[in-house]
Amino acid sequence: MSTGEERHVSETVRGLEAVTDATPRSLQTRLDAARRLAVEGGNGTARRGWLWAGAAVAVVVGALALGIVIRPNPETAPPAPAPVADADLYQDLEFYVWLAEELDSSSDSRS
Amino acid sequence: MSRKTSEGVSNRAALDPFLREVQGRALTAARLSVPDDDALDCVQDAMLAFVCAYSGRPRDQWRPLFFRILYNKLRDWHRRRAVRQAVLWVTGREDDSPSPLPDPQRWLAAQDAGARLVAELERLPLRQQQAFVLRHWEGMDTETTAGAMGVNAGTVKTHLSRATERLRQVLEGHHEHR
Repeated sequence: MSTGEERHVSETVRGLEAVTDATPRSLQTRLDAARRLAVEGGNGTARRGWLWAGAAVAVVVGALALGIVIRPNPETAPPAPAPVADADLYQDLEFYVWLAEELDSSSDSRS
Repeated sequence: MSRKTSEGVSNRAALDPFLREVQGRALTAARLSVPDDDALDCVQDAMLAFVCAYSGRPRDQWRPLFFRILYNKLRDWHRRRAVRQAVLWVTGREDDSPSPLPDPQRWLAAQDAGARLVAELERLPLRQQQAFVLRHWEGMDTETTAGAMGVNAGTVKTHLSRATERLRQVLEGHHEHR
């Protein structure tokens, strides 16, 4: 690098140093906070990730186990409602029995 | 305690002093190409990524690694901005985001000829800025700079010569006007 170029470079570097020293106070404060966050948040982040994954697995396994353990007691559980189709069939059957009896009685009266 | 564990413990203890030392220059380097708030975000993201992924590396690698991460963040910012501008152009909408080149007056707090050179550094392409900052301001040699930029030494020299040529033109223009 020529002497002239060295001068340009050194002047620019001095400018960069001056600019850095003149960084607005508000930016410096936020920068310090960002650094602390990075150092505290980054250290052990990988371990914490594994902890969270492990906790999630434990929750899922626990929920499954709870579902298996908690089953309705047949003695105290309410009876299951009758299937609707069967109830309709029985109702219909009663009707047809009644109808048959009515028809029989009416035919008896005519004869 | 094993050697690896003791190195890890001392690395963690050295993290804060290292980041405190580079944070100011990292922010200035970022402010050369993006608005202040985005520069702060890039520096914070770089710090976090560095601590998470590279704090276990030998300490002599920290500086080039950190600046490599930072410039990757800056490059991502510019790519997102380019995509955003393309979408706005296609949809015929106005771009109301802040200009990536803020008012050069902000550098005048430095109150010397260097301020004008720094303002000119802002106008250089990101790669030339990066080469100049790493080689001349951070004091890395050409090989380390090339490693930090992910290019070969010849490319670093090309970027550097273009950057210094531009600065020379500005400086000569400045002295003529005095």
